Amino acid sequence: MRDGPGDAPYHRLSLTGAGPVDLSSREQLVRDFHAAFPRYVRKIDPVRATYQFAVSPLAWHSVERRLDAFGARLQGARIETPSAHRGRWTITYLYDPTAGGYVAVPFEPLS
Amino acid sequence: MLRHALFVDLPNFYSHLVRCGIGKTDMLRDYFLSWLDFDCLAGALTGDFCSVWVFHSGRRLGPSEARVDGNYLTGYVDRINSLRGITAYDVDIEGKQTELASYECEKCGHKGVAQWESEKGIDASLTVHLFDTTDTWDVAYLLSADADFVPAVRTLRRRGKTVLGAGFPSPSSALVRECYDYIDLRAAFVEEDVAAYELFRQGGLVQTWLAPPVAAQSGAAGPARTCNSQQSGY
Repeated sequence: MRDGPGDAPYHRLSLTGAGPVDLSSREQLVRDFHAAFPRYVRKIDPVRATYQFAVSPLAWHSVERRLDAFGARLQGARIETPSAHRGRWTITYLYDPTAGGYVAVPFEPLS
Repeated sequence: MLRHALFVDLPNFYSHLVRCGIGKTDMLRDYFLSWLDFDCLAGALTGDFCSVWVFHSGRRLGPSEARVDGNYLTGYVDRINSLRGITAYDVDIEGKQTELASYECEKCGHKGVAQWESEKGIDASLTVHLFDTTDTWDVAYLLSADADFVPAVRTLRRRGKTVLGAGFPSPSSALVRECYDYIDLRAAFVEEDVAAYELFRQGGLVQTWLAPPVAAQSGAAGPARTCNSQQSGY
Protein backbone atom coordinates (compact mmCIF):
# COMPACT_ATOMS: atom_id res chain seq x y z
CA MET A 1 0.00 0.00 0.00
CA ARG A 2 1.57 3.29 -1.05
CA ASP A 3 1.45 5.32 2.10
CA GLY A 4 4.86 6.89 1.89
CA PRO A 5 5.79 10.54 1.93
CA GLY A 6 4.56 12.37 -1.15
CA ASP A 7 2.03 9.71 -2.04
CA ALA A 8 -1.56 10.75 -2.52
CA PRO A 9 -3.65 9.92 0.54
CA TYR A 10 -6.11 7.08 0.56
CA HIS A 11 -9.79 7.88 0.55
CA ARG A 12 -11.61 6.81 3.66
CA LEU A 13 -14.99 5.15 3.58
CA SER A 14 -17.00 4.73 6.76
CA LEU A 15 -20.05 2.55 7.21
CA THR A 16 -22.05 3.08 10.35
CA GLY A 17 -25.36 2.01 11.79
CA ALA A 18 -27.48 3.15 14.69
CA GLY A 19 -30.49 1.82 16.50
CA PRO A 20 -31.70 -1.70 17.22
CA VAL A 21 -31.48 -2.93 13.68
CA ASP A 22 -30.01 -6.32 12.96
CA LEU A 23 -26.71 -5.75 11.15
CA SER A 24 -25.45 -9.33 11.36
CA SER A 25 -25.85 -10.10 7.67
CA ARG A 26 -24.19 -6.81 6.79
CA GLU A 27 -21.34 -7.44 9.20
CA GLN A 28 -20.83 -10.80 7.54
CA LEU A 29 -20.32 -8.96 4.24
CA VAL A 30 -17.66 -6.83 5.90
CA ARG A 31 -15.93 -9.94 7.21
CA ASP A 32 -16.04 -11.51 3.73
CA PHE A 33 -14.54 -8.36 2.26
CA HIS A 34 -11.88 -8.30 4.97
CA ALA A 35 -10.95 -11.90 4.19
CA ALA A 36 -10.51 -11.07 0.51
CA PHE A 37 -8.96 -7.60 0.80
CA PRO A 38 -7.45 -7.20 4.28
CA ARG A 39 -5.25 -4.28 3.25
CA TYR A 40 -8.26 -2.11 2.51
CA VAL A 41 -10.07 -2.52 5.84
CA ARG A 42 -8.91 -0.06 8.44
CA LYS A 43 -11.35 -0.56 11.28
CA ILE A 44 -13.87 -3.14 12.40
CA ASP A 45 -15.89 -2.22 15.46
CA PRO A 46 -19.10 -4.28 15.78
CA VAL A 47 -19.87 -2.72 19.17
CA ARG A 48 -20.22 0.75 17.70
CA ALA A 49 -21.31 -0.62 14.31
CA THR A 50 -18.49 1.30 12.68
CA TYR A 51 -16.39 0.01 9.81
CA GLN A 52 -13.76 1.90 7.89
CA PHE A 53 -12.22 1.10 4.55
CA ALA A 54 -9.45 2.61 2.48
CA VAL A 55 -9.80 3.25 -1.23
CA SER A 56 -6.56 3.96 -3.03
CA PRO A 57 -6.23 7.23 -4.94
CA LEU A 58 -5.52 5.20 -8.08
CA ALA A 59 -8.80 3.33 -7.79
CA TRP A 60 -10.74 6.39 -6.71
CA HIS A 61 -10.94 7.75 -10.26
CA SER A 62 -13.10 4.78 -11.25
CA VAL A 63 -15.32 5.31 -8.20
CA GLU A 64 -15.66 9.04 -8.65
CA ARG A 65 -17.03 8.84 -12.17
CA ARG A 66 -19.71 6.41 -10.99
CA LEU A 67 -20.84 8.24 -7.85
CA ASP A 68 -23.91 9.77 -9.48
CA ALA A 69 -25.13 6.39 -10.67
CA PHE A 70 -24.30 4.92 -7.28
CA GLY A 71 -26.34 7.57 -5.48
CA ALA A 72 -29.26 7.10 -7.85
CA ARG A 73 -29.52 3.45 -6.84
CA LEU A 74 -29.94 4.37 -3.18
CA GLN A 75 -33.62 5.13 -3.22
CA GLY A 76 -34.69 6.92 -0.10
CA ALA A 77 -31.21 8.10 0.70
CA ARG A 78 -30.31 11.57 1.72
CA ILE A 79 -27.29 12.42 -0.40
CA GLU A 80 -24.87 15.17 0.39
CA THR A 81 -21.92 15.91 -1.85
CA PRO A 82 -20.12 18.93 -0.44
CA SER A 83 -17.29 18.48 -2.92
CA ALA A 84 -16.04 16.17 -5.59
CA HIS A 85 -13.99 14.34 -2.99
CA ARG A 86 -16.51 14.04 -0.20
CA GLY A 87 -19.89 12.45 -0.05
CA ARG A 88 -22.39 11.24 2.47
CA TRP A 89 -25.34 8.98 2.03
CA THR A 90 -27.83 8.40 4.82
CA ILE A 91 -30.90 6.23 4.90
CA THR A 92 -33.37 6.30 7.76
CA TYR A 93 -35.56 3.31 8.42
CA LEU A 94 -38.80 3.54 10.36
CA TYR A 95 -40.75 0.66 11.80
CA ASP A 96 -43.99 0.24 9.88
CA PRO A 97 -46.53 -1.84 11.85
CA THR A 98 -48.58 -2.41 8.72
CA ALA A 99 -45.63 -3.84 6.83
CA GLY A 100 -44.40 -5.59 9.96
CA GLY A 101 -40.85 -4.36 9.50
CA TYR A 102 -38.56 -1.46 8.83
CA VAL A 103 -39.00 0.54 5.65
CA ALA A 104 -36.78 3.23 4.20
CA VAL A 105 -38.12 6.73 4.66
CA PRO A 106 -37.65 8.84 1.55
CA PHE A 107 -35.71 11.97 2.26
CA GLU A 108 -37.72 15.12 1.77
CA PRO A 109 -35.80 18.37 1.93
CA LEU A 110 -37.27 21.13 4.08
CA SER A 111 -39.18 23.63 2.01
CA MET B 1 8.77 15.17 -21.40
CA LEU B 2 8.30 11.53 -22.28
CA ARG B 3 5.27 10.55 -24.29
CA HIS B 4 3.46 7.37 -23.30
CA ALA B 5 1.13 4.96 -25.07
CA LEU B 6 -0.62 1.76 -24.04
CA PHE B 7 -1.14 -1.23 -26.30
CA VAL B 8 -3.53 -3.89 -25.06
CA ASP B 9 -3.76 -7.45 -26.34
CA LEU B 10 -7.27 -7.80 -24.98
CA PRO B 11 -7.81 -11.60 -25.26
CA ASN B 12 -4.49 -12.25 -23.56
CA PHE B 13 -5.08 -9.60 -20.90
CA TYR B 14 -8.60 -10.81 -20.11
CA SER B 15 -7.66 -14.49 -19.94
CA HIS B 16 -4.95 -13.76 -17.39
CA LEU B 17 -7.14 -11.34 -15.44
CA VAL B 18 -9.94 -13.83 -14.76
CA ARG B 19 -7.38 -16.38 -13.58
CA CYS B 20 -5.19 -14.05 -11.52
CA GLY B 21 -6.60 -15.26 -8.21
CA ILE B 22 -7.87 -11.98 -6.78
CA GLY B 23 -11.41 -13.32 -6.71
CA LYS B 24 -13.84 -15.71 -8.30
CA THR B 25 -13.88 -15.94 -12.07
CA ASP B 26 -17.42 -14.62 -12.52
CA MET B 27 -16.73 -11.66 -10.24
CA LEU B 28 -13.61 -10.77 -12.20
CA ARG B 29 -15.54 -11.12 -15.47
CA ASP B 30 -18.18 -8.68 -14.22
CA TYR B 31 -15.47 -6.34 -12.94
CA PHE B 32 -13.83 -6.37 -16.34
CA LEU B 33 -17.08 -5.76 -18.21
CA SER B 34 -18.55 -3.05 -16.04
CA TRP B 35 -15.79 -1.38 -14.06
CA LEU B 36 -12.21 -1.68 -15.31
CA ASP B 37 -11.44 1.53 -17.20
CA PHE B 38 -8.30 1.43 -19.28
CA ASP B 39 -7.88 5.19 -19.09
CA CYS B 40 -7.65 4.90 -15.29
CA LEU B 41 -5.24 2.01 -15.65
CA ALA B 42 -3.16 4.07 -18.07
CA GLY B 43 -3.14 6.96 -15.61
CA ALA B 44 -2.00 4.66 -12.83
CA LEU B 45 0.85 3.30 -14.93
CA THR B 46 2.03 6.50 -16.58
CA GLY B 47 0.90 9.21 -14.19
CA ASP B 48 -0.48 11.05 -17.19
CA PHE B 49 -3.08 10.87 -19.92
CA CYS B 50 -2.08 8.88 -22.96
CA SER B 51 -3.46 7.06 -25.96
CA VAL B 52 -4.67 3.53 -25.33
CA TRP B 53 -5.00 1.13 -28.25
CA VAL B 54 -6.99 -2.02 -27.57
CA PHE B 55 -6.89 -4.94 -29.97
CA HIS B 56 -9.48 -7.68 -29.84
CA SER B 57 -11.38 -10.21 -31.86
CA GLY B 58 -15.01 -9.37 -32.42
CA ARG B 59 -15.94 -13.01 -31.94
CA ARG B 60 -15.23 -13.77 -28.31
CA LEU B 61 -13.00 -13.20 -25.32
CA GLY B 62 -11.70 -15.44 -22.60
CA PRO B 63 -11.73 -19.04 -21.48
CA SER B 64 -14.94 -21.07 -21.59
CA GLU B 65 -15.73 -20.48 -17.89
CA ALA B 66 -15.62 -16.71 -18.40
CA ARG B 67 -16.48 -16.39 -22.06
CA VAL B 68 -17.59 -12.98 -23.32
CA ASP B 69 -19.21 -12.85 -26.73
CA GLY B 70 -22.25 -11.62 -28.63
CA ASN B 71 -24.04 -8.61 -27.23
CA TYR B 72 -21.92 -8.62 -24.07
CA LEU B 73 -18.78 -8.18 -26.12
CA THR B 74 -20.39 -5.52 -28.30
CA GLY B 75 -21.58 -3.63 -25.24
CA TYR B 76 -18.18 -3.87 -23.64
CA VAL B 77 -16.39 -2.55 -26.70
CA ASP B 78 -18.87 0.33 -26.91
CA ARG B 79 -18.16 1.15 -23.28
CA ILE B 80 -14.39 1.27 -23.57
CA ASN B 81 -14.56 3.20 -26.83
CA SER B 82 -16.47 5.90 -24.96
CA LEU B 83 -13.63 6.36 -22.49
CA ARG B 84 -11.16 9.18 -22.96
CA GLY B 85 -8.19 8.36 -25.16
CA ILE B 86 -9.17 4.77 -25.87
CA THR B 87 -9.67 3.20 -29.27
CA ALA B 88 -10.61 -0.44 -29.62
CA TYR B 89 -9.91 -2.26 -32.86
CA ASP B 90 -11.71 -5.38 -33.96
CA VAL B 91 -8.95 -7.06 -35.92
CA ASP B 92 -10.82 -10.22 -36.70
CA ILE B 93 -10.23 -11.40 -40.22
CA GLU B 94 -12.95 -13.18 -42.14
CA GLY B 95 -12.76 -16.90 -42.52
CA LYS B 96 -11.72 -19.68 -40.20
CA GLN B 97 -8.22 -20.51 -39.14
CA THR B 98 -7.75 -23.81 -37.40
CA GLU B 99 -4.68 -25.02 -35.63
CA LEU B 100 -3.66 -28.40 -34.30
CA ALA B 101 -3.22 -28.78 -30.58
CA SER B 102 -2.29 -31.82 -28.55
CA TYR B 103 -4.26 -32.65 -25.43
CA GLU B 104 -4.32 -35.10 -22.57
CA CYS B 105 -7.53 -35.97 -20.76
CA GLU B 106 -7.27 -35.13 -17.06
CA LYS B 107 -9.54 -38.04 -16.13
CA CYS B 108 -8.47 -40.95 -18.30
CA GLY B 109 -5.06 -39.78 -19.51
CA HIS B 110 -5.98 -40.25 -23.16
CA LYS B 111 -3.71 -38.28 -25.45
CA GLY B 112 -4.67 -36.98 -28.85
CA VAL B 113 -4.57 -34.14 -31.30
CA ALA B 114 -7.49 -31.81 -31.94
CA GLN B 115 -8.23 -28.89 -34.19
CA TRP B 116 -9.31 -25.62 -32.61
CA GLU B 117 -10.36 -22.35 -34.14
CA SER B 118 -7.74 -19.75 -33.34
CA GLU B 119 -7.89 -16.00 -33.26
CA LYS B 120 -6.27 -14.28 -36.16
CA GLY B 121 -4.60 -10.98 -36.53
CA ILE B 122 -4.34 -9.60 -33.01
CA ASP B 123 -0.60 -10.06 -32.51
CA ALA B 124 0.24 -8.97 -36.05
CA SER B 125 -2.11 -5.97 -35.98
CA LEU B 126 -0.82 -4.79 -32.63
CA THR B 127 2.78 -5.15 -33.79
CA VAL B 128 2.11 -3.18 -36.97
CA HIS B 129 0.42 -0.47 -34.90
CA LEU B 130 3.38 -0.32 -32.53
CA PHE B 131 5.67 0.44 -35.45
CA ASP B 132 3.17 2.75 -37.20
CA THR B 133 2.95 4.98 -34.15
CA THR B 134 6.58 5.15 -33.04
CA ASP B 135 6.67 8.86 -33.87
CA THR B 136 4.00 9.54 -31.25
CA TRP B 137 5.46 7.84 -28.18
CA ASP B 138 8.69 7.39 -26.29
CA VAL B 139 7.53 4.78 -23.80
CA ALA B 140 5.12 2.00 -24.72
CA TYR B 141 3.30 -0.19 -22.23
CA LEU B 142 2.50 -3.55 -23.76
CA LEU B 143 -0.31 -5.29 -21.88
CA SER B 144 0.29 -8.87 -22.90
CA ALA B 145 2.14 -11.94 -21.68
CA ASP B 146 2.53 -13.33 -25.19
CA ALA B 147 6.01 -14.34 -26.37
CA ASP B 148 4.99 -13.55 -29.96
CA PHE B 149 5.83 -9.92 -29.21
CA VAL B 150 9.47 -10.64 -28.37
CA PRO B 151 10.89 -9.82 -31.84
CA ALA B 152 8.93 -6.56 -32.03
CA VAL B 153 10.04 -5.46 -28.57
CA ARG B 154 13.64 -6.35 -29.34
CA THR B 155 13.61 -4.29 -32.54
CA LEU B 156 11.92 -1.29 -30.93
CA ARG B 157 14.46 -1.23 -28.13
CA ARG B 158 17.27 -1.37 -30.68
CA ARG B 159 15.73 1.78 -32.15
CA GLY B 160 15.92 3.55 -28.81
CA LYS B 161 12.34 3.05 -27.69
CA THR B 162 11.41 1.99 -24.19
CA VAL B 163 8.90 -0.85 -24.05
CA LEU B 164 7.53 -1.98 -20.71
CA GLY B 165 5.55 -5.15 -20.36
CA ALA B 166 2.59 -5.18 -18.00
CA GLY B 167 0.39 -8.04 -16.97
CA PHE B 168 -0.25 -10.74 -14.44
CA PRO B 169 2.10 -13.29 -12.91
CA SER B 170 3.53 -15.99 -15.18
CA PRO B 171 4.20 -14.03 -18.34
CA SER B 172 6.52 -15.34 -21.03
CA SER B 173 10.05 -15.29 -19.60
CA ALA B 174 11.38 -14.28 -23.02
CA LEU B 175 9.05 -11.26 -23.08
CA VAL B 176 10.10 -10.25 -19.57
CA ARG B 177 13.74 -10.47 -20.64
CA GLU B 178 13.22 -8.28 -23.71
CA CYS B 179 11.08 -5.62 -22.07
CA TYR B 180 12.74 -2.73 -20.26
CA ASP B 181 10.73 -3.75 -17.22
CA TYR B 182 7.73 -5.92 -16.49
CA ILE B 183 5.00 -4.48 -14.26
CA ASP B 184 2.80 -6.74 -12.16
CA LEU B 185 -0.62 -5.21 -12.80
CA ARG B 186 -2.17 -7.04 -9.90
CA ALA B 187 0.06 -5.25 -7.41
CA ALA B 188 0.23 -1.98 -9.34
CA PHE B 189 -3.48 -1.40 -9.92
CA VAL B 190 -5.92 -4.27 -10.31
CA GLU B 191 -6.17 -5.44 -6.70
CA GLU B 192 -6.92 -1.91 -5.51
CA ASP B 193 -9.41 -1.40 -8.31
CA VAL B 194 -11.21 -4.70 -7.63
CA ALA B 195 -11.45 -3.81 -3.93
CA ALA B 196 -13.08 -0.49 -4.86
CA TYR B 197 -15.39 -2.33 -7.25
CA GLU B 198 -16.50 -4.72 -4.52
CA LEU B 199 -17.37 -1.75 -2.33
CA PHE B 200 -19.19 0.40 -4.88
CA ARG B 201 -20.53 -1.92 -7.56
CA GLN B 202 -24.24 -2.46 -8.04
CA GLY B 203 -25.25 -4.79 -5.22
CA GLY B 204 -21.84 -4.31 -3.58
CA LEU B 205 -20.97 -3.84 0.04
CA VAL B 206 -21.92 -0.18 0.44
CA GLN B 207 -25.22 -0.46 -1.41
CA THR B 208 -26.14 -3.60 0.53
CA TRP B 209 -25.23 -1.90 3.80
CA LEU B 210 -27.62 0.93 3.11
CA ALA B 211 -30.42 -0.87 1.33
CA PRO B 212 -33.34 -2.85 2.75
CA PRO B 213 -34.19 -5.27 4.16
CA VAL B 214 -33.50 -4.17 7.69
CA ALA B 215 -34.63 -6.44 10.50
CA ALA B 216 -34.97 -5.52 14.14
CA GLN B 217 -32.75 -7.22 16.64
CA SER B 218 -34.65 -9.71 18.75
CA GLY B 219 -36.38 -7.97 21.62
CA ALA B 220 -35.70 -4.54 20.21
CA ALA B 221 -38.40 -1.99 19.82
CA GLY B 222 -38.68 1.64 18.89
CA PRO B 223 -39.42 3.59 15.81
CA ALA B 224 -36.69 5.71 14.30
CA ARG B 225 -33.49 3.94 13.27
CA THR B 226 -30.76 4.92 10.94
CA CYS B 227 -28.17 3.16 8.94
CA ASN B 228 -25.75 5.39 7.20
CA SER B 229 -22.62 5.47 5.19
CA GLN B 230 -20.26 8.23 4.48
CA GLN B 231 -17.37 8.56 2.16
CA SER B 232 -14.86 11.27 2.34
CA GLY B 233 -11.48 12.04 0.91
CA TYR B 234 -8.64 13.39 2.97
